[in-house]
Amino acid sequence: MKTDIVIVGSGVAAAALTWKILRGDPTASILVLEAGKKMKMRDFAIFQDYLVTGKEPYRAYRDLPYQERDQEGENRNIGGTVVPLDKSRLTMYGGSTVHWGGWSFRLKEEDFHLHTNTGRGIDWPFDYGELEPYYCEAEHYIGVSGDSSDKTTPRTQDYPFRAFPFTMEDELSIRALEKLGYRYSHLPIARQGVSKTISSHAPCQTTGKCKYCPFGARYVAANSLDDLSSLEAHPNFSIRTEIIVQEILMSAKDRASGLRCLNRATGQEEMIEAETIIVASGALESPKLLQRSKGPLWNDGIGNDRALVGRNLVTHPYFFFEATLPENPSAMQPEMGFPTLVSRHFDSADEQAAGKFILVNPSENPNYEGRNSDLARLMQAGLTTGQIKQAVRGRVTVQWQGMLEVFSDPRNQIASCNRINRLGLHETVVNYTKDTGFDDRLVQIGKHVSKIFRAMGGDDGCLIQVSWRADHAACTTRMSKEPHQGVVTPDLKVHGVDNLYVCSNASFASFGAVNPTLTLTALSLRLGAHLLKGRGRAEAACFAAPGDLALATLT
Amino acid sequence: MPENDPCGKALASPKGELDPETVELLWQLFVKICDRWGNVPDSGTMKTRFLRFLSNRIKMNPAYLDHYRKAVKEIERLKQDTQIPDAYEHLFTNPEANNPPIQSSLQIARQLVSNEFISLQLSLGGFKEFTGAINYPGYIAGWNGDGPPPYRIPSQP
Ligand SMILES: Cc1cc2nc3c(=O)[nH]c(=O)nc-3n(C[C@H](O)[C@H](O)[C@H](O)COP(=O)(O)OP(=O)(O)OC[C@H]3O[C@@H](n4cnc5c(N)ncnc54)[C@H](O)[C@@H]3O)c2cc1C
Ligand code: SF4
Repeated sequence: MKTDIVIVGSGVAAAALTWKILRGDPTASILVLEAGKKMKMRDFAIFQDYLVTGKEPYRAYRDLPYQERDQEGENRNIGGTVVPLDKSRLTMYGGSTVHWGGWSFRLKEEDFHLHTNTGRGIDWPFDYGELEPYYCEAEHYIGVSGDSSDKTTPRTQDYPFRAFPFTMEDELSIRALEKLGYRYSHLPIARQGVSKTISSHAPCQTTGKCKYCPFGARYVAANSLDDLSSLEAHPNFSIRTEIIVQEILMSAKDRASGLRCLNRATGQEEMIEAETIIVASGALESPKLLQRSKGPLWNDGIGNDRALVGRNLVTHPYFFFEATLPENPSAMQPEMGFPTLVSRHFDSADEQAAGKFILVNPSENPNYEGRNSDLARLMQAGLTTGQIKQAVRGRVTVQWQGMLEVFSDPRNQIASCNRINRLGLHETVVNYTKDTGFDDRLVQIGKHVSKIFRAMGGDDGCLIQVSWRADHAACTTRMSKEPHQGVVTPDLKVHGVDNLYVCSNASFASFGAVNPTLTLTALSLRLGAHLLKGRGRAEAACFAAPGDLALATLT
Repeated sequence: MPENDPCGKALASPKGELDPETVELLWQLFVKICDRWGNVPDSGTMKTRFLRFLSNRIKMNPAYLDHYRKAVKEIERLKQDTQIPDAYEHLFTNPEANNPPIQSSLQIARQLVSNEFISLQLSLGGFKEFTGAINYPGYIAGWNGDGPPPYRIPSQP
């Protein structure tokens, strides 16, 4: 049987796109194919296990680390910089939002004009104004709590939920930023607030163990897809798990006809025909699937006649700076499981050529010094109440964390490998080498951070870690107006193919300094609108979230 | 299988159940934690949530039936040992009991039982005594509504 729209992957890109199409056309025939398994969400026993062991319940769905001398591993890193894949994504129903942080920033206006402003990379084929309405819709769809009066990026709609006020732990940092004249704001975060409609997602209870939220208050694509499948109004929507798409099949150079899949449960191969195919399998698997789909029509893989598929890989280097404060008289203690304070002062047009960056006051601040410790560890180590009270008021370490924009380089790329990992995916070869200017840029950042630490009453601090983990991998099928610059069109359609799209961070033209998922969600909703238009359906912007039951049953 | 058994008569999994005496001895351990650190004014208010926790642990991993039984036996052994002045103090402070890997009954009692009860106790409100904070990772503090936020905010907003 032929399905109208088949989506490969069940992450936020797939979920937002499905949601948008079904709102405009509730009887649309959509099939979501997911390589991984389904896990129970919103379960209190699982939550408590995570609470007391600290072990994330979905850890079996991660990639293994790279192979070490005496330790088996997965994937291969052949570049000059190690970009770890383990912990960078999840192969499961709901994809990587099952473990994401929910930081939900918009790109800034200048990010859409990177090449024009700096000569680096390419420009986006449209500007901020084109995406702005979809940003508004995306903030409602994933349920963002944010400060609607924040002028960092222009907006035409308020956030659906009010910002979380700054914490007492933010106070010292805020004073330091103010002293130095560095701008700061509330960190917009995907956490449900108190909804005006009846919602299947409880408001955030500030429980602070967000990597597995027992209430569904942090957006997770798995919950959103569950909401969509549970509605009777969507009779032609279905999701299949443990179906690994191996190859895209073509009936003509410009027309995809279906997918060759492996049913992991039965071990059988299946062919699935479709009118429209959306590849939404993340920034690593999406280009790999195109690369693997070789044939007489596309010798080097679909959309890859110019050898651009898989190239221009970027990810955010995430840095950690740490300093010591001599005392902690107000007994600051981490109270929240997510940060509330961000500075986008250096995420500005002035910094764009050198590399924009953001600074975040992490929710783990402060750490009781010498013991790398929180209250639980101090008690578990057997300290008395007096000793603990003394420890929490004594020397503490504090961190500033952040990420930096790096630029695309065609030599940085990924490729599919023949070895199959234990989750059934083809392993990945990563070839990435950091830019020669990166280390100097980090030194400059360090000087700014030291100033902040000193203004907080601490020492200069130092860099303790830079992680190139592929959490924010992007640009591997980047969008462009012209096919010689990128793989997909401004509508995310593969250049040269009429019915094949890539909906992923892979399709970003460039990256900016902030987490990508709100932008990805906006792009997915925009693609949904485009597909609805193609089907003669009007798109109506919708400012409701998937769990809003009252609205859902009214439509 | 009784998922939650607030009466604590028997906490069961398909592999067996915890008898009421074991449950009671585990509760005594939890109360001793509250007493030693003096960070909970009335531990009795936590009993229902404690029993639900035991039930959830066993539901998630039936090996906990064994861990709990071993822990209780180990505490009884420590109590009988005349060389050890205070069984609970020994359990909470003996550095070897906290070392990995978890092999001995003492290590099971400390790392898989007592330490987990400590994490639970803090998440039920035990943290407040140490820092005066009103929220803590794991504590269900409430939502960010129209009233004051459920965590401490800057003194000069
Ligand atoms: C620890 C961590 C924290 C993060 N925090 C943030 C944050 O705070 N803010 C932010 O903006 N971003 C964050 N991110 C990034 C965010 O998770 C991703 O941007 C986002 O989840 C990408 O969504 P996606 O739908 O494109 O891909 P995914 O969610 O990865 O979904 C892709 C799906 O496709 C499936 N799939 C792959 N190949 C196949 C195949 N061949 N056949 C069938 N199915 C297939 C996979 O199993 C997966 O379920 C974080 C990432 C990590 C790792
Ligand atoms: S803080 Fe909010 S999002 Fe995080 S676990 Fe608690 S309720 Fe869920």
